[in-house]
Amino acid sequence: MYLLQILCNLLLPMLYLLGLDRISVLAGNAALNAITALVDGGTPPAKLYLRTGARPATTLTADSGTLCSTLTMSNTSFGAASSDVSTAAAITSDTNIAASGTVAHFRIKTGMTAVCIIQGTVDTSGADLNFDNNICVAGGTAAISSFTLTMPIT
Amino acid sequence: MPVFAPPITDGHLSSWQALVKGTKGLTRHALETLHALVQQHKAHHQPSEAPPLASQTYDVGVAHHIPLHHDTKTAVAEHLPTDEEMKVYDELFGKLQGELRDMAYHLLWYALELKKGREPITKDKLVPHQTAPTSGAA
Repeated sequence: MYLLQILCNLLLPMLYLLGLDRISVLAGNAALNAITALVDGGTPPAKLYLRTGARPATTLTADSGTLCSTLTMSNTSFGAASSDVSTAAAITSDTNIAASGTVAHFRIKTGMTAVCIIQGTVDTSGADLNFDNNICVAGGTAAISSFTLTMPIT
Repeated sequence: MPVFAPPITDGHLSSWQALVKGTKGLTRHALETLHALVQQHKAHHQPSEAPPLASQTYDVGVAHHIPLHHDTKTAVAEHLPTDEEMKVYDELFGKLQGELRDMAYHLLWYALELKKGREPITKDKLVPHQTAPTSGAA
């Protein structure tokens, strides 16, 4: 066992140098497709919620902050993953924002069971979802022109 | 990915003055600052002759980013809050409720639009698809 351990300690760094630490594109696409399939569990279509305050610790953590706006994903929310990227299909704007506030996080939940599948931070730059202006005003319109999920490959 | 707020009319600004006077301390100072900024923009607004900075198509229409006229930009410059002040205002306004909260964030939204050097893109300025942009009247 001791000799085997020595051999593993020598072999693993060599494998790293060969670049075999990365997830294959095949695996990355499969992972993304599995995630987006969860988003689309059942009908009606999934919703993307824009809320104030810090992102909850996990997707299992209860909602927090003020719900400012709700946008509707397409029935099939994302196209098939390609090159470790899934691109969302059209997202219907919210033309009557419910509450005023500075949006700081988002959650994507299934339409049928409202289970949170994806969440992330929101800001005007450097966040998971970047808004040109992330201040919601009641009665206004919130729009998302593009949304992609990217699988990290390292 | 933006938010398009409703337009701020002269009627809004007039009725909001009474709301602002009902507040106090830092919140009142913040609201008075932003209210004055919007008034300054409206008082010195001039249609820009420059082409749009950018245009983006959404399901609700096309948003053209119209740059502020040079004179308008100069007129509002000293009234613009800094990024740090915007964060402080956001913390103050997050504690407000109802009509006061809506007014506060409407003013804050408008300030952020102006800080970007463009005419605030309100809902009424969204252009139906396949129509040319307007000059961006306030």
